[in-house]
Amino acid sequence: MYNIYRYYFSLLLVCCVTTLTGQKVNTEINDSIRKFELNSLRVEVDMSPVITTFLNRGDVYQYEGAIQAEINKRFYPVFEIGYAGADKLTTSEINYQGNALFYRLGMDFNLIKNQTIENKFTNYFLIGARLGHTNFDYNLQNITFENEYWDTNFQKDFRGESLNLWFEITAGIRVEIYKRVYIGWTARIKNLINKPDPGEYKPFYIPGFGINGDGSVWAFNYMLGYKF
Amino acid sequence: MKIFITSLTFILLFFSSCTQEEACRENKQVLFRTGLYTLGTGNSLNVDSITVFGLNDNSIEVDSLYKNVKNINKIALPLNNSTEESIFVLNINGIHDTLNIQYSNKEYFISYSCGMVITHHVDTVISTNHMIKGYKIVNRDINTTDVQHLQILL
Repeated sequence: MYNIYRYYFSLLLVCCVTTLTGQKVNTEINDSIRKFELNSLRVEVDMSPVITTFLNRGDVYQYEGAIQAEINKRFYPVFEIGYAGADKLTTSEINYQGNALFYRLGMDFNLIKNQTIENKFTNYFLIGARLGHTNFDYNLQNITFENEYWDTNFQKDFRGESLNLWFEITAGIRVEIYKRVYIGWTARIKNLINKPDPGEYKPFYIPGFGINGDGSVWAFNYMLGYKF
Repeated sequence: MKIFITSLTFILLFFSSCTQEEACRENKQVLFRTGLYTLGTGNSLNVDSITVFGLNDNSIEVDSLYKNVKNINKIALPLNNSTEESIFVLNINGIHDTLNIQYSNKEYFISYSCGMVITHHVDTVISTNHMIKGYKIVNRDINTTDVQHLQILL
């Protein structure tokens, strides 16, 4: 797992260094200390639930939006917020219910150097990282314990609380299709920072993270946005 | 726009090949694994024949787990997950003994594909001593791991 992190961090660093060193070095003293400059704010909505909610037959749903700033045409801090949950009968016939708000905070870097005045439209190839958080209650119903030999079979319900932190590496593009209107996608690989001990109850689905399996989770957002 | 369409196609193709298939692949069997050994030497012992069955709360015989099985040196016993005591009758080479196992139960979550099981922690083992000369608890925690828990000395 750490090797994957190391690989993505290395890739991220290489991309950042390439971007930074690719820019012209201005020798003027006035430019040596750059002032904070908020270039733009882009508000985005994830359109992928239109497809994914249909594919998941409504068992699992996720709606989210984001606001991303452009600072000094170099840094792209982003705040993402959403609401997600699941109401699903699992393969083991445990009925799972849980939903909550989730938040992500992170930073992107643009790898395309096209922010010039003569460009009619600006495009972005963003690579970055996120830290996600959600805290929620969930219900498990009809947990079955059976023993064929002793012919015993009993069921139990469980209500739990789950606090989750996860880390994401993201990559995506944004294309300006009309004046200040952007479309694009973001692909993410996510890993939980805090995991329950083996044998302990855990939620089937973590809002903002995805299905709570053993390893990394891939996700995809199709974003529609407007730049202010 | 070209870059958007090209990359989106690539991403959609990639994700369409990553659909998750839910299936239980983990072991769900929680068994009290017992080995048969020779008293004194401590060597593993293959008995000529063995029959094993459980006794329920009313001391009525449950189905046989092993019925006149030949040349065997270990047995695996499912403990009752709705009580904290299981009794088994072991007929080794035609001589009966009773094995009484007392334990505590704990719920154990495997996965949403496999569900949950009850695991056990052995407190006490009591046996009659017709064929059985002694026993040794080697592992008190009984879960889905395939390890030996008890050595019966004959």
